[in-house]
Amino acid sequence: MKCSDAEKLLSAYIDGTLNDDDKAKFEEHIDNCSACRREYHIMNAMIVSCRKLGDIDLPENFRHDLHERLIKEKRLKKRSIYRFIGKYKALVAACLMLAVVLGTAAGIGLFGGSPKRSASTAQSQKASGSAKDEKMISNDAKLFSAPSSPALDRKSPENGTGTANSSDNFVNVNISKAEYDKYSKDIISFIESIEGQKISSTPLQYTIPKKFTSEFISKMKDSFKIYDVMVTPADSAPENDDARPKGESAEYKAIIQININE
Amino acid sequence: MNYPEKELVRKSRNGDIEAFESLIQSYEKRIFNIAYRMTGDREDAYDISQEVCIKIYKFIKKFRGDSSFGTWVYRITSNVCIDELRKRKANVIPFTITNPEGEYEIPVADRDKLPDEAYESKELSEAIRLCLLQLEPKYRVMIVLKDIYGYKYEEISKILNINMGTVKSRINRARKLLKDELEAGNLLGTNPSKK
Ligand SMILES: [Zn+2]
Repeated sequence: MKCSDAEKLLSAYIDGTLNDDDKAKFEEHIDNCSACRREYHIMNAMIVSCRKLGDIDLPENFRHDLHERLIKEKRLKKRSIYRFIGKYKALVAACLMLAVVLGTAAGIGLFGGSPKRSASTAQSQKASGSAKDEKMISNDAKLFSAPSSPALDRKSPENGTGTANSSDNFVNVNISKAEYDKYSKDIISFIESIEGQKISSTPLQYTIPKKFTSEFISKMKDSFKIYDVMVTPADSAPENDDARPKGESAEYKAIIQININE
Repeated sequence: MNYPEKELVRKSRNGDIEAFESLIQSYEKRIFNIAYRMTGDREDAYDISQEVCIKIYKFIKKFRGDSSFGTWVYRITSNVCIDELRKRKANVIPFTITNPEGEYEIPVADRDKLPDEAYESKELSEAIRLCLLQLEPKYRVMIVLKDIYGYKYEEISKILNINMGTVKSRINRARKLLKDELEAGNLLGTNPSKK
C-alpha cells in the first residue's frame, strides 16, 4: 500500500468502517510507515477533541423570545388571508362585478359557464407567496440550493406573504356579536375619519397609520366601552413616530383585527 | 403533557403553540449549538436558531414524515446556517487567534506526553473551535455533524440530502483541511522526533 492510498483510508479507518481486507492492509502500512502513523495519531487526537467540545447552554431568554415570536407568527398566519383580500380588494370587487355581468349575460344566453374565471384569477395571485422559503424547507431540498434566509434580518419576519412589517402594531379587538352589531358602523366611521376616505364594505380588518394606535384604543374604550382590546406593539421600531426619519411614517401601520366572539 | 412526538407534530400543524413548544424543546439546544459551531458566535447562533424554530413552526405542514422529525429539523438548521455563511462570504473575517474571552494562547507541545494525551488537551479543543471557522461551510458542517455530534454517515446523508459517497469523501476532506489549519497555526505542537 502506498502512502497516498493510506491517506484515503485514514478517515474510514478511524470511523471503523473499513472492510477487514482494507483494515489489515492499512494497519500493516502504519506499522511500517512512521509518517502515516503520525498522521493517524494527529487525526485521531483531533477527532477525539472534537467530541469533547460539548454544548453551550441555551440563552436564558431563548424560550421566552421564541414564545413571543410564535404568537406573532400565528397571528400573521391568521391574518394573511384577510390581508390578501384587503390587498386585492379592488381586483376581487372587479372580478365579482365581472362575474355578475357575465352571469347575467350567460343568463340571457350570450356566454356559457364563464363566471368561474374570477375565482381562478384570485387563486393565481395568491399562489405567488413564499414559494422560495417553502422550497428550502421541503424534504427534497438540496443542501446548497437554499435560498437566502432572513435569519439575521429581523425586519422581515415573513417572506413575500404581504405587506406586514415587524414594525407594525397589531390591535386585536375582541367583541361580542351584540357589540359588533351595535358599534360596527361607529367603528368604521371612526376609522374613516382617520383614513380620510370612505370604507365601502365592512371587513373585520383595517389598517391605520401606526401613530393613531393609542387614539384608536382610547376611542374604543371611552366612546364604545369596548375594553377587550389587545395591542401587540412593534418590536423593532421606535414607539414614538416623531423619532423616525421623515417620510418613513407611512410604512408603519397598526393592523386592527376585529374578533367577534360567540 | 407528554404526548408522543407524532401527536405533537399533528397539533403543531394546526398552529398549537403549546404543542409546538413541547415538540421543539427536545431539539432547540442542539439547533442552537449547531448554529454556534457553524458561526462561532453566540449572538449569531441565537438569531439563527430562533429563525430556524420559527421556520419549523411555519412550515411544519411540509414535514411529510419520510424522515425522522430530528433529521428534518437539523436539515433546516444546516440549510439556514450554510445560507447565512454564504451570504457573508463577501466579508470574510480574517483569521485571528483570539476569542471573546481574551487572547488565545497557542498551546505548547508537551514533549514528554504521548501524542494522544498531548493532543487531547483543552487547548486543542479551543484551537479546533477557531480553526473550524476557517473551513468552507460545506466542510465545516461535516466536522460539526460527524466529529462534534457523532452522527453516522447515513444520518448525515439524510440530513444534508447528499449521497453516501459524497458524505464520506467530504468528511475525509474536511478532516484533512481542519488538520492542515491546525498545523498551519502550529497548534498541534507536533514532535517529528516521536516515532
Ligand atoms: Zn505511509
